[in-house]
Amino acid sequence: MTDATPIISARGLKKRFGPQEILHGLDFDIPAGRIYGLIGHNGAGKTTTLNAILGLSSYEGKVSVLGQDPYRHRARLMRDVAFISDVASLPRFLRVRELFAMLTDIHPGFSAEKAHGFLEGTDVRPGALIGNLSKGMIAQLHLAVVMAIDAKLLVLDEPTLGLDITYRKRFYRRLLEDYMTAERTLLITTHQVDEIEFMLSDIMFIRDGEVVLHAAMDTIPARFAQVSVEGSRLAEAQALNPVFAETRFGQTVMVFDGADHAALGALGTVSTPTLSDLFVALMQREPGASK
Amino acid sequence: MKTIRSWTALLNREYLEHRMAFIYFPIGILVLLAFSAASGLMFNRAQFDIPLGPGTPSTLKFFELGYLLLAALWLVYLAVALFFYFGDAFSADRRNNAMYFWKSMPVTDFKILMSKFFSGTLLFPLILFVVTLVSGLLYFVVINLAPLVVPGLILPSPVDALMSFINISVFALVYTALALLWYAPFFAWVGALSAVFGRWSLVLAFLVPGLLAVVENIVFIGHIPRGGYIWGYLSQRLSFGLSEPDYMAMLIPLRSFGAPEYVGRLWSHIDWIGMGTGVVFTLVVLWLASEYRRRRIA
Repeated sequence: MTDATPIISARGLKKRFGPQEILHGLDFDIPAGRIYGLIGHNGAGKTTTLNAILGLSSYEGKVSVLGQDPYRHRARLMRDVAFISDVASLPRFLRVRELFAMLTDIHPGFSAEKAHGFLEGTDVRPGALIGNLSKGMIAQLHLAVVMAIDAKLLVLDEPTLGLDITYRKRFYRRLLEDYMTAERTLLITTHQVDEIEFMLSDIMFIRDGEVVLHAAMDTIPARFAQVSVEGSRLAEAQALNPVFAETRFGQTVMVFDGADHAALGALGTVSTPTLSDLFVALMQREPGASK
Repeated sequence: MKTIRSWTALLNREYLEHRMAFIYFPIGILVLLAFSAASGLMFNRAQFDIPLGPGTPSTLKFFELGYLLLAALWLVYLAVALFFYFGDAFSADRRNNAMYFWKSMPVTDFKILMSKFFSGTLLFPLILFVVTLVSGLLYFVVINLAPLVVPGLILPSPVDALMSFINISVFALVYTALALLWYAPFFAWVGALSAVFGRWSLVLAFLVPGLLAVVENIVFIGHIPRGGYIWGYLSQRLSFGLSEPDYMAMLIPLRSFGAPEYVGRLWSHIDWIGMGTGVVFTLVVLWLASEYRRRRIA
């Protein structure tokens, strides 16, 4: 696989549950070595998209992950892909050391030594029965397990759900420092977008089963602008077609996509929207705001 | 080598999940029986109206019949435990969303289900066979201590006792293996239902064929043999083992138990075509269950 070949490619990806279509023909490519944030509301289709990528469910259209059809070759694909779809899904009848021993025999890319290393500083002991661990400890264990797998693609669906802020920050730091390399790709979904913004290289917003934004993070400042519009310039600002407008404490804030930054500067204070600002802007557009 | 390690790990995983039913409970039962026997030997004295002495049958036959009975009881235990195992194991990964974890492993759904099937039909029976052997040895100890309770009993020679032990053990092993092969379609059927319906499979395993038999009888009343073809076939599939004369032959006092003779008798009773079609049915059902599992994660 060359660097130009995407690690994940989807064309016309659709998914139906009964008569209801959940994904409406997604098209996207994810190159290797990137950290992608897949962001959307509950029910937007994030997990359904991830399930298709991981070969966990059937779909219409074409999906290729590491050059393979994930639904047909899930088991083979999992040699190079690690994922967490539910942090509490570890088998509870095993002890931690039994889990590591089993993974060593089942997964060619798993290192028990690394897993033990990732657990240092936590309260998870090798002799502990997983069923007796707290929810947070199970999540810590699961994260240690996936980080101990030498995978080309790591997919994390709400990986820090139920964890306290200290561990969440430590986890993301270790993920960046100890796990991520130029050869690895990370695809992550979370509702706590502010916490992962610093580490993302790309974002993909999904709304109602459609991709509404797919961009590299470093293109965001040039493309999007948030303006605190002066009261006297509101009509001029509206004329520039903001994608979102909101009044906060008497101050009107607008978000623009692709507008001329010099022209915006004349309307008020211009800043780059944060990921959560963009999320609100693109996912909950005010009635009347044009796209 | 990696394949073998992977299979071993999957079998070990089943052992760890179900060791309560197939190791701890049987050991508990053995300990309970051993304590009961020890208490009986320590505190009881038997009084017999018949005189004991020369001419009294050797305790070898008591040992043989007792060991055969123990082996039969462990086989019944195995059958019941396997029924509940297959009624749960194929859907157990859905608990606590564990299916997501197992799906993240580089193992196919078919391999996972086959590992569960082999655990049920190879690993757990082997464990219970060892328990049966231990039961036989414990019973032999009890027989040797029986003169404490019944003075005058004639003990078997160690060589005769060892030969009987080996013969019965071999017969129990062959009988269990062939019985498991014969009933494999039933266990696969329960397991496949479990993959779809969870523990309801325990009821549905009987309800579905029973309902089909009833419907057949209602629809084709007067045009089919009494009971119907389905019921007739199921009755034939449910019967396995030696005939009544074979069992009566085991009771003859002066004949030691010979494994080759009874294995031969068992062999001659087996419907080998039925056995073959059962194996094919088993593989098809397991494959269908794995395809269902491949398509469902929750």
